[in-house]
Amino acid sequence: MTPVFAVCQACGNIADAEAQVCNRCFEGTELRSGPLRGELVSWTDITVGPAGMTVPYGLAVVMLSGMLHLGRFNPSGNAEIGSDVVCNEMVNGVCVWTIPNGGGDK
Amino acid sequence: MVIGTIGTGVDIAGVGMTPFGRRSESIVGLACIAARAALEDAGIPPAAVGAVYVGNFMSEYLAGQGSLAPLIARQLGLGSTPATKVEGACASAGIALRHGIMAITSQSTDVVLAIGVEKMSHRSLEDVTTGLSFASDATSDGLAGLTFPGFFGLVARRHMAEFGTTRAQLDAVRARSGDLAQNNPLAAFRRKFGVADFDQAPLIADPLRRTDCSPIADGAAAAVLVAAGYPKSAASPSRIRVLASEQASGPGSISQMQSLTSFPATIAAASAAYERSGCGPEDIDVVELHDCFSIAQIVDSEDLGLFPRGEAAAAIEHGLTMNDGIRPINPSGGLLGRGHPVGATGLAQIYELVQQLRGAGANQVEGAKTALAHNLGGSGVVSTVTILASR
Repeated sequence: MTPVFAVCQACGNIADAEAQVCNRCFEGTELRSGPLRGELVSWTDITVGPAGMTVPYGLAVVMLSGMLHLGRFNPSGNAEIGSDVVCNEMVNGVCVWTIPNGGGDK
Repeated sequence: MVIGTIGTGVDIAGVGMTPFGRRSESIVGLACIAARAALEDAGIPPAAVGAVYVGNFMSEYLAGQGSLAPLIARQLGLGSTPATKVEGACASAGIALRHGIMAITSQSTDVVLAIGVEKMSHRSLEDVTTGLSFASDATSDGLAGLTFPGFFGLVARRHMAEFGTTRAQLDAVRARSGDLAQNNPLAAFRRKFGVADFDQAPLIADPLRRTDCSPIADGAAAAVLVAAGYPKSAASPSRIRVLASEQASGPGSISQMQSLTSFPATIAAASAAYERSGCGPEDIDVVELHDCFSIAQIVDSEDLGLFPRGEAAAAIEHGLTMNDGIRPINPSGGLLGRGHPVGATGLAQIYELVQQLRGAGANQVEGAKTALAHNLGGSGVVSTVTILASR
């Protein structure tokens, strides 16, 4: 099934397909078929997280439509900056980015 | 413009500070120790204080204490003196200082007590991490699970990719901070750091290891501000002029940033401070900047114009920021060595720079006559830059 995302027409924020308005700026969203594709700007693996979060987990900053986006990253180990990444799903309102060929060493 | 011909018309008359580290006092008690020391240093009685500004980030969450500023004022015996808490994450104390300066320039009072305080070490690492993450935009970065080490881990990896910054250069930042902090009697970590420390340090937010992170600490720092010309006793130490105290806001989340390797709030605050003071980066003799992580010292140095973009890491590695280098940075040991009780840090920087301008620093920069303090909040959402000069 093709994933569908709601992208804010004003700020570019990405939300679940059900979101009719952006949860950040409350402007309208437009539906976009996935997967979303972007360029990996940076990543990190978190080993000490806030209370209640299970560690480790990866985070990625991705350039998409001229804007930086923060999301989860899986897998992340040894990913090359500048490589292509894709998002097929959102979990709890956060994009989960992956490397298309399954790269990384995890 | 000639340096020193302009300024805010406000002087720093006295400073005080607790040792940073694990402390048994309450958060109010810590603030009062620093405040009383600053008043004694200034030779000014508490009754002369017309306003109190307290910088603090998370007393409610970590210490279970609200109404912090008036509680401190009452504990100091200041009666009905107005007392206000200001919050700007890790830049809270820099903002408190600036509000105090504005209270004097607006002629509402001649004497202000600015205090920064935080108490953190009694809580778990996870609780402190949660509290610090409150400075992130909760609807975006916070939702994704961004922590502060995580944010600066992202910055570090990007800086490495863009400018070739190396692991060894990050270690050089930390090693130098330890070398200086071991002479600072108020620092939390008074010891050297070497290769074994770096190799054995666990990853916190890849590529940052524990040695790249400023330590969680308790502590307080304070400054007494007076209008220029306010009466002074012969026994009081020389006063320090505030040439500029500027504040700027920056992106509140990663999606609002244009780049991961620069903080626009720092650039804006520094630009305004340089303009107001008549100083440029080349005129500053000593700097205390906000190195909450090793990579932050590198990025801050570039944002403040101390080194060209992409060249600070090599400059630090080659010793150019040592006390006898061309750009002495963080003679106190900085946040990495002194510790980072977040609401206190901005005024701890002022404490160190006042000592430097009096010629009394534990790691004295010879002949220092101008100084710059840089305080950064959150992931660059707010910054203050203060420029001081000796009389």
